[in-house]
Amino acid sequence: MRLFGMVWSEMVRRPGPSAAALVVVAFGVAALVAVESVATSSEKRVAGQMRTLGANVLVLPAETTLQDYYAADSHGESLPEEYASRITMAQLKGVEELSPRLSVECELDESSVVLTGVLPRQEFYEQSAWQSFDLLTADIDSFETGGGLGRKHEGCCGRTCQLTTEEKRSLASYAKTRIVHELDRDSVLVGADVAEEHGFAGGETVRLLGADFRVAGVLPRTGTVDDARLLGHLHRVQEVSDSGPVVNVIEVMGCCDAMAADLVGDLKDLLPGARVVTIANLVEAQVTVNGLMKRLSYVLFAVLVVLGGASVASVMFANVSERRRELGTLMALGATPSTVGRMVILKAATLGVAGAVLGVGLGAVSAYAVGLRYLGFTVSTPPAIVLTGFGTALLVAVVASYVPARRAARLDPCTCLQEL
Amino acid sequence: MISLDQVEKRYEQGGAVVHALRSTTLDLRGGDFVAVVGPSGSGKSTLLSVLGAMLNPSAGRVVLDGTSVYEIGVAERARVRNERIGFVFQNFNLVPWMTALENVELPLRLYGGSRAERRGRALELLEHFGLADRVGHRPSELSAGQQQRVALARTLVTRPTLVLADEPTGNLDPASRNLVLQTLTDFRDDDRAIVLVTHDPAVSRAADRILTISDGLLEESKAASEIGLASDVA
Amino acid sequence: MRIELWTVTLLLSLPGLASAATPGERVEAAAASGKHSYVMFYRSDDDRTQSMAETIEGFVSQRPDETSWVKVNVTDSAGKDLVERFKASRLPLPAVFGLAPNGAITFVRKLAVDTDTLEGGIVTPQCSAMVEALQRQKVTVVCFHPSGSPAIPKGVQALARDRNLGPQLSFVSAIADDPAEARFFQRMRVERDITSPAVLVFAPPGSFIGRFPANVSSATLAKAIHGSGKCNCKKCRHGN
Repeated sequence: MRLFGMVWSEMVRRPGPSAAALVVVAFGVAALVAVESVATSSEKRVAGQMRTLGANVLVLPAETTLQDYYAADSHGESLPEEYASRITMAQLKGVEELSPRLSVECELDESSVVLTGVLPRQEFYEQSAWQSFDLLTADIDSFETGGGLGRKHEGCCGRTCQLTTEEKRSLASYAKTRIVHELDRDSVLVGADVAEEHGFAGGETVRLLGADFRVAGVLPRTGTVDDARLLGHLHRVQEVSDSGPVVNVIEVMGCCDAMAADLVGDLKDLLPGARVVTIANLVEAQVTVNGLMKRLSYVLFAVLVVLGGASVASVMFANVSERRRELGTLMALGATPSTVGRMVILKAATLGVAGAVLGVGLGAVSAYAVGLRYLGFTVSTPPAIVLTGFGTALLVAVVASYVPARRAARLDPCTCLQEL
Repeated sequence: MISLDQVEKRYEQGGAVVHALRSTTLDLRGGDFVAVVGPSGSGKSTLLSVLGAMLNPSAGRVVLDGTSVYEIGVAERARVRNERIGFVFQNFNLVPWMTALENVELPLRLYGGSRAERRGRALELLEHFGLADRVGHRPSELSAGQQQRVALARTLVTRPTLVLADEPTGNLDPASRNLVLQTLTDFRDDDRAIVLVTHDPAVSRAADRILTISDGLLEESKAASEIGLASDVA
Repeated sequence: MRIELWTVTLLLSLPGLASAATPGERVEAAAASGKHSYVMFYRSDDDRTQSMAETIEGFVSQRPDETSWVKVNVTDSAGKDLVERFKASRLPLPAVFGLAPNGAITFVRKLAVDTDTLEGGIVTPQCSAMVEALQRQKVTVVCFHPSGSPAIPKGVQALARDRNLGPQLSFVSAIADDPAEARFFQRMRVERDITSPAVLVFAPPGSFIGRFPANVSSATLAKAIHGSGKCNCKKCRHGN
């Protein structure tokens, strides 16, 4: 530590020579950390969406474009609600849940909110039940012949599963499924943010689009646009908004990822006038961007290594040169060549670490700000990226200082006696 | 104390051999105060470097307190330099970014020891040299005389047995010069050896022995006036 | 109840008055007479609507004792009760439902229908009981008995007494030598010459849980029902 004390004192008291290298290293690390953080967070988000929504398919009006899965009903276009019945009646394999939605803007206490009409799960079950006889005869036939949904997907139940566990019936499940189990026509469910803003807890009466609704409950926080919405029965919302039997989107929840591809094809055949997309389609652009960002981070890594290394090497060479007499004096006073060499490397390592600290901090804050302002999601910096930033900066600094350190170690202490 | 036994130093320069130091035999004991005089390029710095365990001779042995300093490893030799040899430089060679106290502590810091001990010893010396109120000053904030006193304190902090001084009074005013000489004399009186390179006759007169070096050849001198100290050193 | 049936039948037999009955009333009257009904919904009298109507009319005219049908415009207030019951205004139209006399829905088709479907919509009494139970969200245990042996297997009897599962279950029996149930045996792929009862279990809305022999224990049946993941008993609803 005595060596480090000397190195640190010199750096602190003579910051000028090291400042440029510090800045280069810090910015290099910051850029690497920021890009990697954004790319990693985005990848995680995409993976999370694929995990929770991978088996889901959206049926949209033909000309809509979509950026955010959870705001799939916010485009203002509509399609007939009968499309949902077509899907139900087509007996498509692998359809587990169905959620048609219609969103309308309305006023609540002089502020604008979105009222979203949803069809409760029980109504979907009811429509499925109309096909009981067809379903069970098909099931018996496939049981005999060895095909069918049950054989293909262990644990999947498709539309034939109407198990209404407490979990499914509770509002808490909404956070995971975005499906309401039961909802009567004159009730609304309130999103978490709306409840907080207006002080709803359940039981209140609200007036929306000229009609009174009872607040039946508060939805759990989902982290999606639903937190800022009210949910009502689809048919009641259609009535009060005079929109007729239309919806903005039909969300089809498949039983598993493996069925999603088949479902897309079936739905496209069934509804030629609609646009059918999966979460994979939606995140395709994001996946491409993530790939580009990953490649960019490799380029930045290379730039950090080259520029940072060159900068550190340059500073250390200059440092050794301008301190020749000082280092010679140290040797005359008893410092070994290896001590002098170690001092140079230690100084470079300190530069590297200091640059990494600044760079990681700057990079993490920048990434967070970019995520908040431009990307709409929280960007975090995982420990692995912090370690990469530190490791790279330290390694580059130490390697770049190797030759200057050797030069310093080979200094002739007699340089202090040169004036003779 | 220290002895040079047929020490030579040769360099090759453009195919020719330069004899920086020709076969030199020299014995110094504790209490010896030796002045070395000679023209520029005569080999004075080579002699000091060899004596200071900084320059490996081409031939011969250098023995300091029983240790043949060029027959031990680099690290051990550095330690010998640190513990037994002290240097006084013409340009002081203080570390510019360290305070006076830190400069004096520096030789002790290279090989550990408790901070309190180092500090205590350094403060004691700075007080001895009348610099107790300058301990926190950097060299740029000190006069030439004060800087040389800090350098002297640094030299003496390890209690070396041999002091090698390279024109220690060259940049000083008379009062400071006298202080340096007094210090060196005190050092000699403590049974330590001093080898002093100088062009200053007054300084060389303070020495007990005068050695003349010319073209690498070292000779014991006669009186100072006989060697024309003031005039032919260039 | 009998008086009402006679009243309705009498009223409907009077000329001029039959046409005044709403579609819903006509469906009820048909059910009362033990007939299957086809309820067709439409919005406009386009080609598809006409085609569907012709198919149904043609079929019903050949089976006047077993079937009847009604044609309901979703915008007509006369058919409002049927439109609301089947949420027909939100269906792809034209659409047709097959109804058994006990109210069970035997099929639903959109845009077009064929005679095979109409034929298939005519189910036996026990079959319609099974479908109706399933549509009430009941797990349905169907016992197919050999001729002359209507005894309910012991395991099934014990299951009916199960305090947890019992309320979720509905039980239906069909006997091999009952000609009215021949088609039921055929549709459920049970041989009519069985020598011992066959127990078939179905979960709502229409999935086949399994076929079991006559000596099946109630424990085996219960395990199969709970294990299907389609049971709505208290244990399964609470996720146990």
